[in-house]
Amino acid sequence: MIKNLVKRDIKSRYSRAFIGFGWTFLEPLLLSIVYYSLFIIIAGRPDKLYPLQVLTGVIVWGHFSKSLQASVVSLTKGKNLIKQVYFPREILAISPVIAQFCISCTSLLAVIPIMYYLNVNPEIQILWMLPLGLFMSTILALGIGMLVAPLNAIVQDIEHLFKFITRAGFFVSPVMWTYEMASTRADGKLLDAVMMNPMVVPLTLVRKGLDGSEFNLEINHMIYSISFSILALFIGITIFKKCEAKVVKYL
Amino acid sequence: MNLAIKLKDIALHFPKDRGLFSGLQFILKPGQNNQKSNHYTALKKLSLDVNQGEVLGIIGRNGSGKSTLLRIMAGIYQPDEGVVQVSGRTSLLAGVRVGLNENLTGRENVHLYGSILGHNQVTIDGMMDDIITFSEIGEFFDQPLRTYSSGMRARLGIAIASAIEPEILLIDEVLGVGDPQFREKSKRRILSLVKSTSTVVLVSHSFALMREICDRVAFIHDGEVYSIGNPTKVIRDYYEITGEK
Repeated sequence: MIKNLVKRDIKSRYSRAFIGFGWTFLEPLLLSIVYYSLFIIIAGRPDKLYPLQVLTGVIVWGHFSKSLQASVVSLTKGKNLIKQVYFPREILAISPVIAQFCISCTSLLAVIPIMYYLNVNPEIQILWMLPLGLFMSTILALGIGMLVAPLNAIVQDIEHLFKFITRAGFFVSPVMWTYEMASTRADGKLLDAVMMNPMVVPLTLVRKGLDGSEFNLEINHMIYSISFSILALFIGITIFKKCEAKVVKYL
Repeated sequence: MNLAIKLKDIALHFPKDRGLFSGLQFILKPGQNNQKSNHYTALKKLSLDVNQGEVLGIIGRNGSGKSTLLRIMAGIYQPDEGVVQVSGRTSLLAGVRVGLNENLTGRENVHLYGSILGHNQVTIDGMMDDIITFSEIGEFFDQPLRTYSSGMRARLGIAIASAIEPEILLIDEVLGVGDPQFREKSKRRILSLVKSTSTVVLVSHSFALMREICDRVAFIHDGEVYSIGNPTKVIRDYYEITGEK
């Protein structure tokens, strides 16, 4: 059933578009060009690797924010189905996130030509950094999404709030900037505050996996982010299971 | 006599107030927010037994809680109070195009809907021919649903919903779509489904149909079972209470 729902999500997303599935590459590429130009205008000449970094940032952040929004609205969007037939409703929250995961993985292929052009070769660390980073952002999005989805069924303000949060989160996450930039600012005093954001570690992991640069994240930040994601998923699933049956009446 | 469905003292309140605060309160401490003021009571202390192998009709005015009752039997709503015991797989036939996706073809929709109802690939493929023949959609079956006319959608919906064979069938007024020929055909289909399924609960306003196929009829009024038993007698009660003939 999950398989069929995932297929539906992926197929129906692009089925009416001429370029169709090509948008999975085009969208992050175009966005990256915009951010790249913006960076040049505001901050001057960037690092040689910056185009790769911003593209990776756009894809991973896009993965997180789209997964989060999809799971937040899962109950309200699936209300016709919910009122028609009984089935385990967590499937509704999980399947769009899996669909988004497949799409994001495809998007990531767009970095290959850029890496080739910049002459970047990934080191062996890609094998653990890339999957771990993607996995962390996925379970974080799913966890938070499932936590608030029942509440969103009662008051749809949550949906709007999370639209805002994902937009604001873009600026406090290393999409246009990088971990290195943050750690050299103000002698690293701001770093702990920046690292409160659990998305910094996964984004940086995926980046370092791809460009093969030195692993310089602090271990306590790693532990914090990983446990934050796991905890979010655990709490999210628990709350969702506990509340979904009660909120069906509100749909 | 074995019971297929046993409902005991079921109460269900719908929330009227959708504020953020009452919503939070509802999630945090359910059960304590039964102040009657901000709830609409759909069912109160309703008890109903459905025997194995019988066809039970449910009648009542609009808004008397008939559809809600079926949804409780199907496990979609959880009652606020009371006990529900259902022995067997239920399937709810209601509204005909829900769960169908605009951008998928008819065939893909059958797969999607079938898997939501909990069938595996093999069962769904087995039903496919039957659905194609019954729905009379022809070449459109492999076209996206957005190209269908509304009548075609309805026919596909009925074809899918009635192709499944549950142990307990719940029907909520699904007749009356499509052209007269198709309506007649789907009525026959549902009648044969009623005959082949052992236990059926049927909500309808068609009293003639009720007299014809129901073993017993229950009349729901004000969230309670007003009377239950012989179809002709219960239908007479209905007219006495609602005051029209």
